[in-house]
This record gives sequence, structure tokens and C-alpha cells, in this order.
Amino acid sequence: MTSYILRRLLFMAPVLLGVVTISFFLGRLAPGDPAEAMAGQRATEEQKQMIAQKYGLDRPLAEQYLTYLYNLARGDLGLSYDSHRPVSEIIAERFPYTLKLAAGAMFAAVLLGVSAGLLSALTPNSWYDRAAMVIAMLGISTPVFWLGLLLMYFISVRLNWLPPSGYGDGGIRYLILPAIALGTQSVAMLARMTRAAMLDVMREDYLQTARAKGAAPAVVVTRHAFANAAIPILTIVAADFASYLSGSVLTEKVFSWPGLGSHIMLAISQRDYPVINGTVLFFSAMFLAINLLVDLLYGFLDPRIRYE
Amino acid sequence: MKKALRHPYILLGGGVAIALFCVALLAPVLAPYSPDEIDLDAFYQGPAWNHWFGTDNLGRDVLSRVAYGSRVSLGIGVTTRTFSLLIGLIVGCLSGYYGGKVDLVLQRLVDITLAFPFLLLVISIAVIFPQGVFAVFISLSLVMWAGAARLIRAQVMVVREREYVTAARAFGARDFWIVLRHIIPNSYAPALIWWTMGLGQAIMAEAGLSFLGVGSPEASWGGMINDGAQALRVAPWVSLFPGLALALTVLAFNLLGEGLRDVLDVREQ
Repeated sequence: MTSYILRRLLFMAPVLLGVVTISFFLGRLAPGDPAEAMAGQRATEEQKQMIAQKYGLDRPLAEQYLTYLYNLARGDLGLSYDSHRPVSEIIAERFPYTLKLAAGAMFAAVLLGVSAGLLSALTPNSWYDRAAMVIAMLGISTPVFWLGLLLMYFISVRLNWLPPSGYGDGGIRYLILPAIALGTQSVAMLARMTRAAMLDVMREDYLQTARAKGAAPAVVVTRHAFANAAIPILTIVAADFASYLSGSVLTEKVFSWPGLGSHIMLAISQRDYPVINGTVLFFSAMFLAINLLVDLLYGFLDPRIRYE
Repeated sequence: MKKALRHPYILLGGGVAIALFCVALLAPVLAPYSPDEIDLDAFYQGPAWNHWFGTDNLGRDVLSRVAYGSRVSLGIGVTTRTFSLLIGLIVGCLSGYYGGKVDLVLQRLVDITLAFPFLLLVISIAVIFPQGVFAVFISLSLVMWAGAARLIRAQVMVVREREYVTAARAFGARDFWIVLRHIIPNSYAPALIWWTMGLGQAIMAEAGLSFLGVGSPEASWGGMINDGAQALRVAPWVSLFPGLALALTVLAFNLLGEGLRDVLDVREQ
């Protein structure tokens, strides 16, 4: 087990190095001079040079890259070109907002998706089952930013039930609409996965056995069927959670949510490389870490799985 | 084939898809106005007989812009999926057929691409190029190939061990011939499903880029939804109609992909 975790962590290192390398050089390929972006268009050549010197932008590219890696190895993500604050500080400040949004979206998705899928699986091919699957398909096909605007228009503008956007006082009222918008894509996926997983499990012999020995239907469904169906469902939940963290860019823009997603868009427009690279690295590391956690959780939920 | 034509998802999705391609091809004939025709006297007009879908902040006809926007969406969708499948096919074949070090290096590249936050990687590539359709096409293709490569590689590794491939090799067939004659024909079903299933995703991603302001500057659905977002209170139709068109398109391709997967399911054969 420990050696499995170690090997997985070891495998993550080259992938993350690749992510850092690609995002570093992609940033340098983009047109626009960060020194000019920092100094402003009316700055003199000398001012620009001073800034370039201060941030090492006048050094050869290979040297800049190695310096970046060296600092990274010491846990230093560099300073933002825009606010001159440490990138790690910016991430630490913005990430909780994104995390809150992702958690809200996950909650909405699991609540709606798993219960819709369960109901579908218990009454397969009924009108309810068909309707739920059609709605699921619609959910997957609706772009998150458009759904966000629809919710905003009908719930906030027309009905005036919830605030249209922003973070406000941090209350739950501000979270509901963005969380639903972000979570809807997974509601659909989750409902379908839950249905398929439950139908698969229901065919197993051990459910027959459970029923035969007289277990109550509710116990068969929860204790025997759902406990086993939970494993594939969990994969979807975790994969979606990872994608919410990095994919909240659109939702955060629609709802003016002050998270990391809206901040990285600002950084991209300002050519603020340290912030872009740091955030991308952070998101990728989270993605890999969540995947590892899911694999470990598998073994916990299903003792038949052995790590080699 | 007969089975395919009776599948409700394929009929419905395929029908809508064909209609959409017709709209894209015939946009200049069907659209009542030019998509960029500005009429400042008629800004933010609600849906009416002369403007079915209303007008936007510059008085441009939303219906005409939605019709023209289908060209960007479908064009980007089809070209990106095809190009990324081509890259994935080459990488997947090399990786699966040769194995060893080639496989190791190429698979790390796939892992790295998949570990990136999807939209952020697309944006990072898109901003390198001058803003336009080409930037969207190339950035989406350079990200989406990884999924295809992984799929084709798995397929190749299965086919590689089949007896007829061993036989072909024993007869002295060249690697290139084996890939062309045996491996690609055996991968067509999963590749077709992959292509179709991701078409909606590509179209959605294109709209996302336009919505964020890094997409094509032409009339595109994502860009129009963004235009309308500024005026949601006074002119909700500016966002509503392009969004409906977008959702309908993505739904059609998802249904089609879903239907194809049912009909062509490799596991059932």
C-alpha cells in the first residue's frame, strides 16, 4: 500500500514537470511584452528595461526557465507582475472561493443526480425513467454559462428570489445559482451513472440471495445494491470535482464570483505569467491528487481491490 | 446500417444535425439580414415580425447572426474533431504498435495534456495566435487529441495480438501496411463514436472561448451570449436565442453519439 502510494507520487513528478514546462513556454510564445504590460503603454524604454531587469525578463529564456524551476523546487511560485504579491498568497486567498463554489456544485449534483438515478433504476423503463434520462441529456448539452444567465434572468431578475451575482456577504443565497449552474452537467452524468451502476448490481447473484433470505427491500437497495454501485458513482463525483475546481472559469465569470477561475482570466489578459503558471500548476496538482485519492478510496470501499 | 436508421437517437440527432448543416450552408440565403448590418435606430428591439429573434445593442438582427453563427460552431466542431482524431490516430498507432520507449514517451505526453485544466490549456494556446477561427481550431485540436490517442492505443494493443496480424507479419507485411490494412479498419467504430461524442464538447468549448472573449471575432454563438449578458435585464433575447441554438446543436450531436454507441457497441459484438 505505502509502496503503491509512493510509486504513484513518483509518477506524478514528471507529469507536473511537463505541465510546468509547457505552461512556462506557452506563456513566452504569446505576443505582448509583460514588462510593457506592467509599465503601461506610456512608459519610456528605460522604465521598461528597469522592470524587465527586476523580474529577470531580460535574461535568456533557458535561464529564466531554470530559475523558475529552481525557485519552484523551494516552494516559491514567484511574484505577480501585476500586484507584486507572492503567487502562493494570491492562490491561497482566491482558492477558498472556488472551493466553496465547487463544493456547492457537487452537493447540488449529488443530491439531484444520485436520487434521480436511483429512482430511475428502481423503476426502469417507466415514464419517470425515460423523462429523467431525457432531462439528463438536456443537462449535459446545456452550456454552463448560458444556463447561468437563464437562472439569473428567471430566478433573480424576474422572480427576484435570489441575488443575481457576486459574493455578497458570503451567504448561501449567493452560492445557490452558481452552484446549480456549475453542477448541472454532472447531475446528468451522475443520474445516468447511478442508473447504470444500480441496474448492473441489481442483476448480481448476491442480491438474489439477500432477497431470498428475506431482507427488507429498503435494506436490499441501500445496504446491498447501493453500497456496491457507489464505487463507479464515486469516480464520476471525484472526476467532476476536479474539473469544477479548474473549470469554474466560465461560471465565475457569469456570476462575478471572486475565485481563482476569474482571477486567472484577468492574469491571462495582463500577461501575468507567474500567476498563470502557478495557478495552472496548482490545478493540475489538485487534479492528480484527487485521482490518487479516488483510487485509494476504492480499496477502502471495495476490499476486493488490491494495490500492486 | 438498418439498425442505425431505426434507432430513435440517431434519427432525432441525425435529423437535427442535417438541418443544422443546411442552415450553415444556406445562411446567406436564409438569413433575412446581413449578420453585421448595424441599425442604430433599432437597437434592443424585442422579437417581432421584422426581427423574429429581436435585435442586439447595435440593432443587428439576432436571427441572422444565429444563422451565421452556426457556420463558426459547426465548422470549428467538425474540423477540430477531425484534426485531433488524425493526431490521436498517429500517436495512438505509434504508441500501441511499437510499445516500449516510444509508448512510454508518448503516453507521458498524453498524461500531461490530460492533467492540464482543459479550458485553461486551450486558452493558453489560443492567445499565442492572432484572434480568430484558426486560433480556436488549432488550440482545441492540440488539446483534444490526447483522448483519441489513448483510445486508439488501447484498440491497437488489442488488434496487434490477433492471429491475423501475426499471420500478416509472418508473411512479411510491413508495419505501415499492417496499421493501414488491419489496425485502422478495426478501430473505426470507437473512433467514430469518439468523434461524434466529442463534437458537442468541441462546439461548447468554442462557444466558451468566444464567451470569454478569446474566440473568433465573427458572429458566433458564444460571443452573442456574452453580448447579451451585459443587457440581460433589458434584452434577454440577445443571449436566449444563440444559447438555445447552441444547446440544441450539442444535444443533437450527443444523441447521435449515444445512438451510434448503442448500435456500434464493440463490446456487444
